[in-house]
Amino acid sequence: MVTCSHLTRNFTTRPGSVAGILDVSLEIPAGEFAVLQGPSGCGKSTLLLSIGGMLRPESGSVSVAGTDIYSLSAAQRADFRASRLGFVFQLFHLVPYLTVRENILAGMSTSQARTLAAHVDSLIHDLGLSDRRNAHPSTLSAGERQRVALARAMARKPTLILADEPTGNLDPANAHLVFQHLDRFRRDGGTVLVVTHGNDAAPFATRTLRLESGRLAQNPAPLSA
Amino acid sequence: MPLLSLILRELRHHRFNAVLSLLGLVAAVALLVVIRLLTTAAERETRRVVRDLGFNLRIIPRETDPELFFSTGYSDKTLPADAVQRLASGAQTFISFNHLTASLERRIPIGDREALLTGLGPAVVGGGDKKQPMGFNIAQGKAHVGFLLARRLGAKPGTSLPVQGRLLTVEKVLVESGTDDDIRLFTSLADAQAILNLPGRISEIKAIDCLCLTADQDPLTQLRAALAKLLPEAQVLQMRTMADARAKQRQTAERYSRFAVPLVLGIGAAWVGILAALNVRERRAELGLWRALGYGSGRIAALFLGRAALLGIAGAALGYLLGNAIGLHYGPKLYPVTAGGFAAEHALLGWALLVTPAFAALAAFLPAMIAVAQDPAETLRAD
Repeated sequence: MVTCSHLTRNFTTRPGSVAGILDVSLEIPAGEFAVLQGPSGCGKSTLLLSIGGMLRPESGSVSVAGTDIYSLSAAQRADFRASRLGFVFQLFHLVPYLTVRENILAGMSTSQARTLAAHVDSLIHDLGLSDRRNAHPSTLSAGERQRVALARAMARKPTLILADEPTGNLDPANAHLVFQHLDRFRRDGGTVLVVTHGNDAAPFATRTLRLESGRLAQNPAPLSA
Repeated sequence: MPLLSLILRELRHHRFNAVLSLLGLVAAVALLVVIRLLTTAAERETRRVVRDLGFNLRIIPRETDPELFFSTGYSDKTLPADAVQRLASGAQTFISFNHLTASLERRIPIGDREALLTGLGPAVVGGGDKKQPMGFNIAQGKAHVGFLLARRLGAKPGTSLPVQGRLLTVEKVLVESGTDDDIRLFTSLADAQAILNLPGRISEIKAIDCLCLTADQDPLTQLRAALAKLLPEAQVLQMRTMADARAKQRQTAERYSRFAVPLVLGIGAAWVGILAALNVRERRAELGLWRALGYGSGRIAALFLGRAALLGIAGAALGYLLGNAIGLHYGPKLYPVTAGGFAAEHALLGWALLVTPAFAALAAFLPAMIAVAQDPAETLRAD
């Protein structure tokens, strides 16, 4: 599903400090629940966003579902992201002026929203958001916000979900719930890559990767599902 | 979700920024509408005042003795009546002269005393010029009688007035002017020519110059140079005080307008641009999200330019209404002579609705491009 080959990306985040990824190569087959671990600032998010087609590497290539995403034009890459990838972020990144349901449908065309309406409603139900569907993000708890973000990531039936510290702002119960839903997505045929610096995701991981100072410290090794 | 709906919701959510942007646009449009109303009013008022003052250029036969002309008030020489047509046909005429009116003037006995007889031809204005001809047309056989003369003769509108063997009908008795017009009898040019037995002759062409130049710019030399080419048998005298006051007034109004309009546009653009930049800054995370959800540069730019254009439409409509309300309320107090001439210019609304959204979008262009160029990874990375 995901193949990264000699991926390098450096940039300055603060004067004098450099965070990035150095010559990272990895492969994540379809159907995996891969967990990328490492300390803060080691380049986990950089790698995740590079795989998501949002951060062009300085060298190397990224292939997702057989498509070399950085060989695509910006517009083609945007379309690819919209149709094949789902993102979940630590800070939820919900649109504050849209309701829960509108946030889940965000970015879809009117016809796409109509086509996926039943699927979206089922996600709202499954994620326990039925009574909050018309609420705005400012009225939601952190757990509810992340469930909305999760529903948004799954709404367009992507093949790969990229989650960047999805439980960083959640209590253990809500964190567990999020991983359960991601695992369910994997069991339904999707692929998941979760970036985290904790061990909450370990029970769900089929593969664990460790990044240290921008380098992959451990060869990807499949774990038992 | 359709773009328009998204923009409307965003405006409602970031209402402080939206209201401030809108206020800036409303103020800019309102000011421009007020400036337009007042500039038009100033021109109208000045035109009226100048008209009331009379013509400021007097084109008389070259051989006229100016001293005699000023002592009697008219030229004792004559020009052929077609001089006015020849002057009007000159390509440069209406740049230097306008509202050309041929007249024939003499002192004649009426009753037991003398009066001034003035025969007026129809006024000629520049081709394509929308100005109303100044002065008034008098039909043949009719007369307008000065205040004192009418009182002495007992002339009233509708009564007949014998003038050297011709019978004229009094059409109007003029209000008291405090000038020699009070002892003047105005007739058509043809009637005056017949009364004075000077067929096909005129003694003067009255005109108004462009009033674009003040005394220090030596307009008379330029007028005389223009006249020498068009009508060499004539000379021109300029009532300089009147012309200078008018020119200064016009120049002041133009200077004010030249200064105020760019200032309003500049401040408006800066205001809208800064608020748009703040909006982009406030929405950095949201923009990163839209990128993650597959929005391309065009759609991101459309979010901001569409927002600015929408505010522009609202600003145009509200600014037009506010500008007219202010202009129509205070304008008549500033220009009381032509207070009745104040009216909303509906064409301005069309222009405002067309130009303001484009202007607002232009002002928001740079912030929109910043939004487009923004690296979504910067805001989405948790590292």
